[in-house]
Amino acid sequence: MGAFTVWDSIVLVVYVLGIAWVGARFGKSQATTQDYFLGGRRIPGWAIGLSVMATQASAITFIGAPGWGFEGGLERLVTFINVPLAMAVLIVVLVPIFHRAGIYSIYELLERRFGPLTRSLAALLFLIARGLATGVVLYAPALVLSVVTGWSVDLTIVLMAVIAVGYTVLGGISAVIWTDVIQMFVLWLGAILSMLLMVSSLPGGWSDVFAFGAAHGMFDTFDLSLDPSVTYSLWAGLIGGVVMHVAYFGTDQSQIQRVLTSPSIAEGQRSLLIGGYLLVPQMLLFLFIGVMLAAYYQQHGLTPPENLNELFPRYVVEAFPVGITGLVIAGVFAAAMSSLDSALNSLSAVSVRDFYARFVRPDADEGHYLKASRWATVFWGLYATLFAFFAGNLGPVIEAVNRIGSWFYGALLGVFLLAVLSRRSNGRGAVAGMLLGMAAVWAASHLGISWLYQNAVGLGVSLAVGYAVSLSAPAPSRDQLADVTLEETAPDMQALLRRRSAAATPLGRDARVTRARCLGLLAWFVISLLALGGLQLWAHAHG
Amino acid sequence: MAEGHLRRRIDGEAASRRLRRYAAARFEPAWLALWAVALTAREAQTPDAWLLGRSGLSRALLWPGPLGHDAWEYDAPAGVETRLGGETREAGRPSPEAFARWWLWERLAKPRLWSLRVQPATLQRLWLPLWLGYHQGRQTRLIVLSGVSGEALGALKPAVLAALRAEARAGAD
Repeated sequence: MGAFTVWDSIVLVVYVLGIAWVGARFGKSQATTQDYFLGGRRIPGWAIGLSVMATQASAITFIGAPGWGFEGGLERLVTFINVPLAMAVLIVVLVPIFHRAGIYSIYELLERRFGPLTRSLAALLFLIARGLATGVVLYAPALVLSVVTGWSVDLTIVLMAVIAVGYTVLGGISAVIWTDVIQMFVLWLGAILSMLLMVSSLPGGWSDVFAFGAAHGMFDTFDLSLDPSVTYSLWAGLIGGVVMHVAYFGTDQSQIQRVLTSPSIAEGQRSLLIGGYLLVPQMLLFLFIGVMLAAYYQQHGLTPPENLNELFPRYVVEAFPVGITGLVIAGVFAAAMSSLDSALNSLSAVSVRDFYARFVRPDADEGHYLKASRWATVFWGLYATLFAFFAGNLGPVIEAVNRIGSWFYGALLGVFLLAVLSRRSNGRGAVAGMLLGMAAVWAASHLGISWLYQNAVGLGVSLAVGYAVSLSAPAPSRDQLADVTLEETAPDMQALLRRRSAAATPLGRDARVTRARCLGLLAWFVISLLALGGLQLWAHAHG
Repeated sequence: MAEGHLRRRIDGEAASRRLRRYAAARFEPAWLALWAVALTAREAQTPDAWLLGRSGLSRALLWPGPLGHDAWEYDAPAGVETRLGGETREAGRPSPEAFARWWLWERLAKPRLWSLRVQPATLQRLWLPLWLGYHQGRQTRLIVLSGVSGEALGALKPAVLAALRAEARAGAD
């Protein structure tokens, strides 16, 4: 124990090579071809969901959340408590529309609805925001590597960037859903093992952790303050957090791409469901590790590292048995590669489809676009690398990703909602709403209000301005509304459908699966709220 | 150029169970004419997959694996079922370039199988079995269910509505 040994290095290398071998072996087989086309329909839903989670947040959660927990206990869980609600909104409102439109990039919907300028502007915002956030995602494994090896983090950033870009350009080696699942289990195993090791090193075990947490207010998840400057109040988490996560999972191409490419609406919705159920418990697990680390550091009289992102990787290296350290660090690596692969790929796809193939070379052949997409990956790798050098100054990595998104997400979601919910809004209003929405976020960031509210400010301003400015230009044509309104609502179509329906075979009672799915998420949200509230009350009674 | 019918794997009972989840009140079987091209890594190879589309669709459907005779048949099925989008031999036929472009975007969105290429020489018309569900609320809504997988295919809805309208107009003339 106490260092990253040769055995750990061997485990790391064997694990990474093993994942590569599994990916390459299954990537070539017909079975995987079928899974590729069917979105893994023959693979159980839970595995697909875990795979989605692996590409979403696992590596930065592993590194960032314990730092959060160490600093503020469970208070920052309010940032994520809203995820079930956000997923329910996506499942009901956006996924069916995106799917019906048959689009590859969600920004295409904005072009059909509002014209090319809105599409280009939204796609550009995505490229800037996701490119910056990818820098943070790149920084996370580089930091782990730096802690493990003792090398400078700048060097490990460059090293990780080269590996990540090479991995993506070569087509990704972690193409198989099962490799993502393995990674998730390795990370969770690492988390649970670290909890057990920490508890066993405290004289009073779990009671020490709970006593420490209760005494230091670390189980205070809900701050009911109405003061908008309180960063992690329940209201900031509910109002701003819902907007942030609907926008993050629904209008960020790197997240919604998997839903768009799923073979059916139901499959797309299913891939969001597991995140809706598991993201909150996963975040709770890693925040709780942060609380335990705080108790551990206090009892052992240790000084925490200046950069709290190093906290958990450092503990893993110092406390885990030989071999297990290598396995967990390898899990972080592999999960980070999975996230980086999907981010770089979506950046490259949007660059080529929304810009290069429209404005630079509209009629090139496939080989040319393939080359262009690979160069685009290299470009975005460089862009992310440059930003990764600054990522360490942005605080815990997980918050850094969300803060970057907050500059853009509210305004972007506002424009999508205008496209979907308002038949009167048009291109002029959309562009004005998007620009003024971001300007409002910038202004709000100087008012000292919680950054979580910035998403709601961006959304509110872009909706209000977008609608108001739309009134100064003609209403959109029926063609422009075709993707977001149902063509069958036209009177002639209604008459035709009623005729056909009358002649068709009657069915019995309906079951409404989508509604049931959303009710499940709402119930889960309430249960999470009650459980965390109960913990907080208990802590106050015993603190 | 061959023409075939994909085998209907979802029977009326299974379709009614699925359509109930989408709040449909009534349903009927139908067929939609689509055009298919093979996707292979090399020209003479057994197709790894097929791309199914028709003009007017913004994206194609993917049929994984070969289209063997367990999957389709030449003869039209017995019974009176609505046949949509096949007014003429060439109705709804996309150009080979349209297929190539569809496949390009599909791969850019999910870039794992770059080696597969569209084989224009394999172009053929295929009839896709559907179940059409009707939801009766304030307005009558259409739900399009695949007769092969049982999944709701929202992306096919514009094509089905256009074909229903064309069929109604042809009937009126």
